[in-house]
Amino acid sequence: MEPVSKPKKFLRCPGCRSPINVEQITDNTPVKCSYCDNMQEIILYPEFHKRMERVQQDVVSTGATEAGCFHHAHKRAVCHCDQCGRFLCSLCDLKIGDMHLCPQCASSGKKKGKLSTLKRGAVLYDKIALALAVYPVITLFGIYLTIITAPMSLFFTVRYWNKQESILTRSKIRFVVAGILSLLQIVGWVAGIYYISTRLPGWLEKVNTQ
Amino acid sequence: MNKKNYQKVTGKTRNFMSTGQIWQQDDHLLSIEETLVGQTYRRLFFKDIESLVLYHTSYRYHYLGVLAILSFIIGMIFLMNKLYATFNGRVTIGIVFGLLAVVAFSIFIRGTICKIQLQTKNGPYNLPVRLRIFKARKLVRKLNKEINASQL
Ligand SMILES: [Zn+2]
Ligand SMILES: [Zn+2]
Ligand SMILES: [Zn+2]
Repeated sequence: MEPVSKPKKFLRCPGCRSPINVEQITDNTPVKCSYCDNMQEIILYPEFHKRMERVQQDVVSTGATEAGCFHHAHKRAVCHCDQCGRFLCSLCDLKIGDMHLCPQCASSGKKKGKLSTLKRGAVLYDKIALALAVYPVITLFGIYLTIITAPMSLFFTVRYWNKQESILTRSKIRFVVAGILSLLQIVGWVAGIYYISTRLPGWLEKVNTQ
Repeated sequence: MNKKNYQKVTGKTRNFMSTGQIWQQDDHLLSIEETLVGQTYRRLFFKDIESLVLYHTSYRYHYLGVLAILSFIIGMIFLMNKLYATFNGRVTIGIVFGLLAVVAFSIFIRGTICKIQLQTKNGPYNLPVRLRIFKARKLVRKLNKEINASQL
């Protein structure tokens, strides 16, 4: 992380990552990146100007181009708090997950339970179950794999039927299809094995008498 | 867990190995990237958003370039098989190139393909969706309203 974000480097061209001179921006008029000719429409919000001011104040207060820690003005800042934007020295910087937080924001976040409840991802068991039930059947020779994949698919279907992790509500349709397909595959294997086992003594007899 | 109702903001965009889609709740956008096995989420709170860049990509011209190469290959195949010699052959050529022209025209007429980048204190974030310019501008107007209202 950059110790000090210089105002002009607050924005970079999404196409070529070269810095954009924010002083030339007037809202909503498309501008051309002077490096890569990428056309872009840039909008700055109040929060942007607030951070600009904060950075400039910090630069002035430490009397240098390097920003000082918000709590320990004489110490060099190593990063800023991801929550409130204050500059932090290595002592004040708390790493929580992949966030840098100041002590205040970290404790208030814990109190609200905010830091732990925000889910970052979800496993989609219904998609896995469906893939296990479908892909072996449609690929060459994959059909023999179904002796393993069908029970796995059925397991995922039953185990996670009511335990969807996704933030958004998902329909059960993938589980239903996966369940039906994997059951059919299992029935097929059971029937096949039963058929062979009943015929096997007869075949063996034939082979022996020849 | 957190199963409050999210509103759909954009349709799904197919990327290389995943799909991207944007949803919204009262105070934030939820960006979802979905692969074969799972979803990853990224929340962008309106009050944290510092800037928005709507940028024009050249994807449209890439698509047209691919189409041009495809037309060239098809043309060569027709030529080598002397398809132009018979009446039915000429009709086939007409239909195939007519269809290609329609596809090219529809790629062109639907407008520049755009991407949107939002910047917070955590740095810039590209929304995992591609939008045609008209839809992108509409979305930007909507976001403008939400973001400015949250930063009063
Ligand atoms: Zn550029
Ligand atoms: Zn803080
Ligand atoms: Zn400090």
